[in-house]
Amino acid sequence: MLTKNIHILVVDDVILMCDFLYGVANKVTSCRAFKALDGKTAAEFLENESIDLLITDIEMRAPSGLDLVQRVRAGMFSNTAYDIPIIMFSGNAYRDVIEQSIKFDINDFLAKPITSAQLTKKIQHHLQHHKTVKPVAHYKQLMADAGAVTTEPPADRGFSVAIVRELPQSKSEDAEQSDAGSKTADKKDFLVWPEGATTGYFQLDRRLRNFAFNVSCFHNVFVDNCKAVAIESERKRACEAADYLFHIAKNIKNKEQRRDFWLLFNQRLEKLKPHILELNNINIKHHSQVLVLLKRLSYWWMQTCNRPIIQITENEVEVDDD
Amino acid sequence: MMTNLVAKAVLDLSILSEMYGDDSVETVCPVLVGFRNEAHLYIGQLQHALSVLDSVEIARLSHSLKTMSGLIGAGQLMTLCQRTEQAARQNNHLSLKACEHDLTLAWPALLSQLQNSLQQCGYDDV
Repeated sequence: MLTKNIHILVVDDVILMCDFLYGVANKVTSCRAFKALDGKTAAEFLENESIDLLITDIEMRAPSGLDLVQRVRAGMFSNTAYDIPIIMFSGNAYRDVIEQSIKFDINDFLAKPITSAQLTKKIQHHLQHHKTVKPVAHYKQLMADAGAVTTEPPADRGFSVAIVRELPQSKSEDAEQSDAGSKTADKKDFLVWPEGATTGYFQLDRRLRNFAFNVSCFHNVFVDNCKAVAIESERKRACEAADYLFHIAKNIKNKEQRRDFWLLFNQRLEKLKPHILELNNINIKHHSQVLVLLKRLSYWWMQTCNRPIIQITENEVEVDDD
Repeated sequence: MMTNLVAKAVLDLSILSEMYGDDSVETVCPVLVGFRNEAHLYIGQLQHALSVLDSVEIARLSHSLKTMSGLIGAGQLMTLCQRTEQAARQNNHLSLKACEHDLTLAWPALLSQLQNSLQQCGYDDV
């Protein structure tokens, strides 16, 4: 393997360390090194160059070293194979990070500091000894599982809200206790509409749910590898659902005076628009790109779902929303 | 606290040579200059983070500084950063205050040694 031109990507957000790794990797026989000071640049190299070995630090600003590893193993880069050798670096060998790395079958985990001679040996070893890794689907599933965990909000998380609606206190303690369950459920509901909300609000609610349903259908058809016609049809439905949502939101906003509500809600809708544009234009054959987009849509939905725009508090006096 | 650090060398260039596998002036000088410039920025940010007791930033910055210091053989600063990072992760404000004080001594001492080494190498830009 050492007879061909081998591309090594080194990633570290400390310039001195990145230059050190780059210098060492570049001196290894038949190797050409690329360096990146952050995960984003590294992802671009992985996408555009055919990288044969990745050396990355763990602790960087997002995307972290572990994020990069996950994306490589899930086959998300066009020009870089998913089964390349990966060496991870950190001054701190934290157990949970090591466990995560092992799950994604990294080839080596090195603790800093390391000498150039030691690193050279490691590079040569991993280029000459191929490690069998699991199929891409396995890592995709791991990523999906990890994503489900990270998007789950902590129990004591404080919500950011635009409007606080104070409800009258219940007439008796007993009644309060009997209603406790349903009130708790209400508080967790996505977008609790103001009292006396017009039908427009409920239409907005329906459009949101309809959009979620259609994106979900598109996702299911896509991952089941159904026929292209079926996927295109689901894509069209999801885009139409989003268009309806934007249209309805715009109409209601023009009739409404709740500035705080619309400020926040519009911010969230604006974040959705580029994803929908991408959904409309994306090439379905680019499997990894579609999966990334679906993940972004999922994040958007989770962020929107988990932050109510109107919060209910329980005080004695009812206060007007406006 | 500073007495704990004295056992370590302020700057041991033999470690740098071992790390890089090269003790030539062409290798050592650019590394020292690179370290000085980058560490200067990190130290400034770390001092600010220590003054406002921002544990997350302290841990991140001291972690990076620890790595850099280890690479060039700045033993005292490396040990101090290790202690600072640990204190930040434990949210130990008392210990962080001590580290903040030690940093005001360790960094100028290292800076002085760096400049001496660079002058000995005949490096003009000191």
